Amino acid sequence: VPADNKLNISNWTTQLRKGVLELCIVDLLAKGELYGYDLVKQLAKIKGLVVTEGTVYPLLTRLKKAGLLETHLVESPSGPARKYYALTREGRKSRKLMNDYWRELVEGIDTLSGDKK
Amino acid sequence: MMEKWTAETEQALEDYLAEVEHCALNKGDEAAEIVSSLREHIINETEEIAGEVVTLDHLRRILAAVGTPESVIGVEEKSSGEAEDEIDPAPVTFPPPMGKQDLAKRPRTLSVGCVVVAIILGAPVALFLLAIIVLLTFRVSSQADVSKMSLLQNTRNGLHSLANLEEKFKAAKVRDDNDDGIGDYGSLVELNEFDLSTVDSATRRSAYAFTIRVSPGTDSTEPGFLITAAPTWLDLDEDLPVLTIDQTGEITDSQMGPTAKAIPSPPQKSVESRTIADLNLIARAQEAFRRGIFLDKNEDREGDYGTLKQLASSPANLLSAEFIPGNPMHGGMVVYQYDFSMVVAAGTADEEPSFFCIATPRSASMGFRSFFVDQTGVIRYAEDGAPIGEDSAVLYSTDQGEIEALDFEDVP
Repeated sequence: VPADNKLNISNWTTQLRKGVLELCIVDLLAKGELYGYDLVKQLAKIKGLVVTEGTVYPLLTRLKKAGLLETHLVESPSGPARKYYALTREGRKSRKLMNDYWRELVEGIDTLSGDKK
Repeated sequence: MMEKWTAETEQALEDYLAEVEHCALNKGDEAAEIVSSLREHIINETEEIAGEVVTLDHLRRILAAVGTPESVIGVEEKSSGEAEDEIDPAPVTFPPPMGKQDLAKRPRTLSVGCVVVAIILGAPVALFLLAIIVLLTFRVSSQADVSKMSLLQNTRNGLHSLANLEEKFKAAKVRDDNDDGIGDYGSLVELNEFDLSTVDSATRRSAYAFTIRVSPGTDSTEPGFLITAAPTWLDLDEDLPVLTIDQTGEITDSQMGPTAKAIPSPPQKSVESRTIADLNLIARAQEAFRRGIFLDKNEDREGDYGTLKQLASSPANLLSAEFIPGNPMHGGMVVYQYDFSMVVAAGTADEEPSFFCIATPRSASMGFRSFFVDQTGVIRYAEDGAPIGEDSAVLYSTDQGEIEALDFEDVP
C-alpha cells in the first residue's frame, strides 16, 4: 500500500465478511433445510457478520446459481409461499472443502501470532 | 396480509423494490428472485405489527434493517471477490470524457480517412481495417447512448427516492410551520438530517445536482415541494434535460437554462464539465464528512470539514483516492488538466466550520476556466487566470426559466 493510502478497512472487512458469510450459510444449511427468513435472522445474530439483512439474499441467489444451494416453495397459511433453502450434493462437497481450508487458515494464523505452538 | 397496509406504504414498498430491481439488473444479478425474497422478508417483518396498520414509519424501520437498494446490491457486489481496487471504491462513476457530439462525428471522420488509405494502398487489408474501425466506432457511440440512458434512469430513481422521503418527512411532522397538525415538506438540509443514507444513495451516484424548494402549508393551501435535478455532466449531449418532481410524484423534463448552455464547445466543454462534476462530488463528500463527525477539532459534536486526503481516507470512502495530490492514482487528474486545492477552517464557538475548494487549470494556455465551490455548494468560475473566490461569477444556478416562475419559497 503506497504511503499516501491507508489500508481501506471498509473494503477489507467487506471482502472478509463475504467469504465468512458463505461459510456460515453452508454450515447452517448442513443441519437441514431452512426458511430463507429464518436463515437471515440467524445470521444477523452474529455480530459484525451481516451489516444489513437484505444483503444476504443476493448472496443466496448467487450460491444457488453456482449450484451449491437449491430452493423449494412451501405454502403458507398466512402469506406468500415460503422459500426454503437446502444444500445440494455439490454444496455439501464445497462445504467440506471450505471448512477444511478455514481450519487450516485459522491454525496457521494462530501459529503465526503465537497463540498456538 | 396486504390489506393491513396503507396505500402510501404499499407504494413506498413497491418503489423500494423497484429500485432494488434496477440495481440488481445493473449488476447482472437475478433481480426477480432477489426482489421476491426481499418482499417475503419484509412482509414477515410486518407480522410483528399484530393488529396494526402498516404505516410508512413501520416500513421505514424495517427497511433500515434490510438496507438501502444500493447497499443490498452494491455492498454485496463489492464483496463478490471480483477484481477490486483496494484504494478506490469511487462513489460516483462518470462516463468517459467524450461528448456524444464527438462520437457522432467520429465515424464519418474515420471512415473518410480509411477510404483514402484503401485507395492509396489499394489493398484489401485497408478495407478490412475500415470495417473494424467502423464497427468499433459504432460500439463506442452505442455505449455513449447507454451511459446517457443510465444516467437519466439513475437520476429519475433518485428523484423518486427523494419524493418518497419528502412524504415520510411530512408524515413524521418534523416541520409544521402553521401548527395545523399537518406536516410540511423539508429542505435538502432537513432531509439530510432526517435520513442521510437515503439522501446520499439518491444523489451520490448521479452526475446531476439536486436542489429542493418547499412551500409550507397555509390555512388555504396544501404544502408542496419541487425537487430539481440539473445536469452537471454537460458534454454527453447538448439537450440533457433538467428533471423535476413535485408532490404529485410526476417527473417532468425541461431544457437547461442559458447559463448551463454557455459552457464552451469541446474539448474545453468536456474538460470543464468533468471538473464541475468533481467539485459537486467534493461538496457532497464534505457535507457527509461533516455530518458523520469524522473530524471534530473543538469537540463540540459538530463535525468539521476535511482535507482532500481526509475525505479520501475516511472509513466511509467519501472520495476517490485519485483526488489526493501525490497519490499514484492522481495521474488520472492529468487527463483533464486540473489541480484541486482545498482550504478548511474548523468550527469555533463563534464560527461555523467552512471550506472552499478551487480547481485550477494546470496550463493557462489551454484557456480553461478556474472553478470554486464552498460549503454553500454553489459553483463559481473565473476566466483568463483571474482571482477566484466567493464573490466570483456563479456558474450554475437552477433559479432560471420555468423553475423560477414557480412562486415557491427558497430554502437553502
